[in-house]
Amino acid sequence: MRSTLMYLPAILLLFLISCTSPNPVVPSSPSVTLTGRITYDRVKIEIIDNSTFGLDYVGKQKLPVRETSIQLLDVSGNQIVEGFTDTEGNYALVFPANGPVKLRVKAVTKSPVVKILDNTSLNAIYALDSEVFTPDGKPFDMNAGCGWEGSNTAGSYTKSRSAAPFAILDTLYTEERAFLASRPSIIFDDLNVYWSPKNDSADGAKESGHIGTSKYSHNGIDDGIYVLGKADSDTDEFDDHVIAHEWGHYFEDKQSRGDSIGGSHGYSDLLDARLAFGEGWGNALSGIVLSDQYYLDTTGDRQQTAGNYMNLETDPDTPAGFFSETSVQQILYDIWDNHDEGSETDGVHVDLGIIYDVMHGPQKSTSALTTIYSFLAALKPKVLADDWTKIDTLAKARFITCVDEWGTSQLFDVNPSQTQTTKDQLIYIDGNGTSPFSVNVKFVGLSEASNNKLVQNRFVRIKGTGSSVSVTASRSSSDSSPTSIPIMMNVWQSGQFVAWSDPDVTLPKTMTFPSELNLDYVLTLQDRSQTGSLETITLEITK
Amino acid sequence: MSLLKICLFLGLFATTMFPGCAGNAPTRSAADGKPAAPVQVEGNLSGGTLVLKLTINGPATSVELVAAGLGGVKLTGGSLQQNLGNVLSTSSFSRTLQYEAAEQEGSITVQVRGLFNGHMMSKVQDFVIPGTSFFNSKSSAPLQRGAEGEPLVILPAD
Repeated sequence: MRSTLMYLPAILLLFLISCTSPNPVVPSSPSVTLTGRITYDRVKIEIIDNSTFGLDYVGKQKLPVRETSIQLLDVSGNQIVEGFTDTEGNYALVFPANGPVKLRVKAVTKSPVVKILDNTSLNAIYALDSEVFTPDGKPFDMNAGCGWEGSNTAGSYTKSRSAAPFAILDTLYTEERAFLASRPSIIFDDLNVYWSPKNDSADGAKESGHIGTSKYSHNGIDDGIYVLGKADSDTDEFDDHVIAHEWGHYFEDKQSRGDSIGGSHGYSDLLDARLAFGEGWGNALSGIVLSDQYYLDTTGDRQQTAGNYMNLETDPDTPAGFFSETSVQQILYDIWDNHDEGSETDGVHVDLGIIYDVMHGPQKSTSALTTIYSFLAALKPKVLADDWTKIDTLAKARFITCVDEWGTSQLFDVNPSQTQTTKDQLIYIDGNGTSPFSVNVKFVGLSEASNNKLVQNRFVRIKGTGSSVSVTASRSSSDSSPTSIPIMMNVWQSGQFVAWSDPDVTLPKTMTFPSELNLDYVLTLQDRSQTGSLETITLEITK
Repeated sequence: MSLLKICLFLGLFATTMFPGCAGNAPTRSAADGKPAAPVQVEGNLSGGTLVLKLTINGPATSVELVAAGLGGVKLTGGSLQQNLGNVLSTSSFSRTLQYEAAEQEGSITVQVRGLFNGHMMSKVQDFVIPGTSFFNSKSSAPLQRGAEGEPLVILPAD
């Protein structure tokens, strides 16, 4: 024991020397750097004319997989090191050389975080794997192929469609970078995108791929963008405007506000003003962020059928107005673009950053519903007076006169044929007479299940009093049709849901909601009768 | 009071006192789909027959109906491509398709396209055709796990 204690100082000294030595005590493998470039096959759309276009597999290009997660694995699949590709798809990984490895690229971007998942495989993340290889000091490149073999019109998918998740990721990366270039401090919420070659246009379980259509879903269960992938029916992974359009809905949901009631919509429809803005925004944004005014959507056998075509600049928007998604998209696109087109010389260019400021600011907090009026009213103080004059001219060319966010003084027609001939209805009916007071509301219960058209939906603006507000709806005494009709009534305050009445309960019915002094509330009414005829109800409002 | 009774009471309380909390309370749109032609495609499947009801909200010109079987499903007489002409106002069409199901699940894809307001638009609707085999041989490959245990679908590189 004594002899051990005698050597203790020497032992401690040796221990300290070993701990502070600049050279590791345990010898290890020398570090090596593996470099290379990750790409994917981009299949663009070949356009002959506005009714003839399809995916051009033969002309595919290799584009970089940008700022995306990359991992080096050992032969057992254990992670050795991880990193990200750069904006050109290049990577450099430093690790101790120790035999054969495998390279993996996950379909996950660095920031903002976007993940591409397979909704038909337990929402698993797509990942591109290399074969096992031994680094030899040379660059190691990888490409995600599109899986197509043969010509555009006679070929088919014969291999894995590895490029698809990375094509979607790249479109979304482009879109987010367009905003970040003007407003670098934007923090986007994480986004999940669900794609599968099984995703088709059938209605059913999304776990089986039956997603109905490409869409942005935000019902609280697996929220995100769903993308069609069913070959020879409808695929959208390379239809970049479709992807960008759906991201526009995600943007409204997370960065701004969208009061759209959804449902089917199309080119010449006279839509509910909320829906017209939401869809026009999505269409215009796709052209803005991709710097491409042609919205193309391919479908059909071998993806060679022209599905949907829009020229965001010059399409006719008859009938034009606040209810037309075409009018909305042309105004928004023209505000942003820096050139004139056709006979229209707008001469205005508003930076995307200002558009972001409007959408993230007053468009999000407006007491009115989100329509082209709330957007234009918020834009006006953010641009020069001369530019506003030009924007106002653009809007008026489409019969949109913006006085304020409420569209005050704008008149439109409500009739079964949906023509705009006798314009005598205000967008927001004034609900602020001396209590109690009555007001008549005209509707048309169109025979369409979507219930999202202009003449089916009416708005009433009611100022809060600090106490309860009661609204009783009944058939108007002037209405010749005696049948009771189902009317849905909702109350909103700055986009927040306040109260509703059961649409299955027919008239007469009463709803009551609490109100705060001087806050603006919007009562939205929807005729769900599907009678196809003009109907009038009377609202009695008591504050 | 049993748990069931408590739940029933709370459910009744919620739906009577706070109608906004009830199950089918309307909110904003829960899903925003891509633009499509103003066309509804409904189908009724029964014993090798698909009866289609097409509602086209015109006016539209050069309207065309295309239908094809996918995943081994065969349409009797082959794929369908039919010119529906010009549609002046909202119109309905009915078509009956005969098909042979495949051993595994397949589908029939239906597309209506045409010029709406002068512009090409289309509506695609797929119908799932159950397979004739009791067993599904298309079971997916087992998923791999990533470094953090996350499930992965592995795609091969070129």
